[in-house]
Amino acid sequence: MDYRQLETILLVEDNEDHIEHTVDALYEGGLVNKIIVIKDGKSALEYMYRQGEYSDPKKSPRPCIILLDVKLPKMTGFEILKTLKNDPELKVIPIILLTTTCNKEDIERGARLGVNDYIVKPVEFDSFMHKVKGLGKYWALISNLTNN
Amino acid sequence: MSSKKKKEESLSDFLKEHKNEFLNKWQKLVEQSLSEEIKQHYQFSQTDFNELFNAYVDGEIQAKVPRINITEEKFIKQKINAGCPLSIMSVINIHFMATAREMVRSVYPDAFNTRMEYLEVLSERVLNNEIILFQHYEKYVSNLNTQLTAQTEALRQKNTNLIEFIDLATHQLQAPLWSILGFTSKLQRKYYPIIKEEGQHYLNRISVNVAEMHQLIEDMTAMLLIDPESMKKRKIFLHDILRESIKRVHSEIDNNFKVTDRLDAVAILGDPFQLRQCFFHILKNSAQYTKVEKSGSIYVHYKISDNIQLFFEDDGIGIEKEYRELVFKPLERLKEKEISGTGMGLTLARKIIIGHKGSICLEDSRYGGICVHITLPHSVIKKH
Repeated sequence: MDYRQLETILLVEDNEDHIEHTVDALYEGGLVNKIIVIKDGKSALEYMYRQGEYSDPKKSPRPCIILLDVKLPKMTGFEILKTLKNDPELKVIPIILLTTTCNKEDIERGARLGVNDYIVKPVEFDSFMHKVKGLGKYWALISNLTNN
Repeated sequence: MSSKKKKEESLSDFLKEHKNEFLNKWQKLVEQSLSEEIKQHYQFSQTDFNELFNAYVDGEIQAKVPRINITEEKFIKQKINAGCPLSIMSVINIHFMATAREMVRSVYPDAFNTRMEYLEVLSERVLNNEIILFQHYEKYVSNLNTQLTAQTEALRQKNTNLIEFIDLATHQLQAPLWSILGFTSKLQRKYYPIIKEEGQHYLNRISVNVAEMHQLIEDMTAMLLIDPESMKKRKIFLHDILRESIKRVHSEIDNNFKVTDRLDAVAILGDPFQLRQCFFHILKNSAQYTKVEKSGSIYVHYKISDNIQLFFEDDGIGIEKEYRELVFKPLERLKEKEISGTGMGLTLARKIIIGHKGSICLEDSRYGGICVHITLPHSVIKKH
């Protein structure tokens, strides 16, 4: 049985405020998906590989999309990205990188590792809301179509 | 003692007897061969010539090779460590032989050929010393290269650490700002109607200032991270770069400026990311300064001769001549204009152009405003 739940979005973010803003942006955008928040890199991989406290597939369903912060404790977003995109089974899950700067190196590195999209947390907060809403819907839809 | 040794000894004694004359002639010949500039940089004393003379003349008879090597090594090391080029040392050696030949010829004109054997011995010593000289020089250069490689590696490591630190610091600085932006945005979206007018004003000012701070950190980071080493050059069409930059300026500035360009055929070898940033800042600057004017037009054109020149001419309010260099300095702004910005845009633009081995300056525009004039070397032009 495939425990991948279409409605689940995984947000990997350590900053409490940023979690609040991102979750708000997703819900304000009209998404009704369940959002699971993981606050460090190591736990994010444990979640994806159903290890330790995340071993129950029902409680820890595979997400249809991952929103991944670049700077995380214990393991960076790039390391998680690399691991997941090298995994034959997990690489199909779309990953969107979240970053606070539009650093060229970060963007290029993400692209090399196979990121599906990225959002630079911008100066105008409204435009972040707009992007999250748009991207969240887009990738949720793509993922849905692929699965069906 | 063999007859050959006797001849050598007599000649050796002869040269030693006439040592002062020899040294004078020799030194004079060397000085005539070296330019004034070289002589100023590398001074050879009487002692230097004296030591070398002793090494050549006495070496074979008394202590043979080891003595020559010790004296020579010491002398060569001293000179090389003082930065003396190999060619100067060779000039000294060549003139030693010339002086010896000349003196032997003048004293023994009739029996010059019979003295050739001794001159050959001397010549051999000089050649030996040339070889030692080359070996030392090679060792010296090789040591220098090793040192340079180590220093380059240390510098590269330092640079990597610095970039990592800047990257981390930027993220750490931006994170709380973004939190503040998020909460002010939330207050504005959800509670704006119930906040008193004064409170609304404070909220708006918080947003504007935090946004400026955010942009300043972005620009300063870009300024620190942009360097010629990190350039990723490829063939790019300037027209494409310009179009993308215009799009970004339009998305950031609420201003109906128009851009007319004549860049369609020009392809160059450059870093697209950096040049987009450069064009963006030039256009943004012009667009902001045309804001108060009616027309707001920017004309972009180029000229190719022995280099490539790009012109961004606007019809804005212009910049007085005395401030035209100032705008390229970091964090400098012409404040009286009350136009938003971090004061880093044109500094970044100049850094990028210099990285592409070009130059950038401000001139009068034919349309009344300012003209940003970029000159790039001909080598960047990419033929189809």
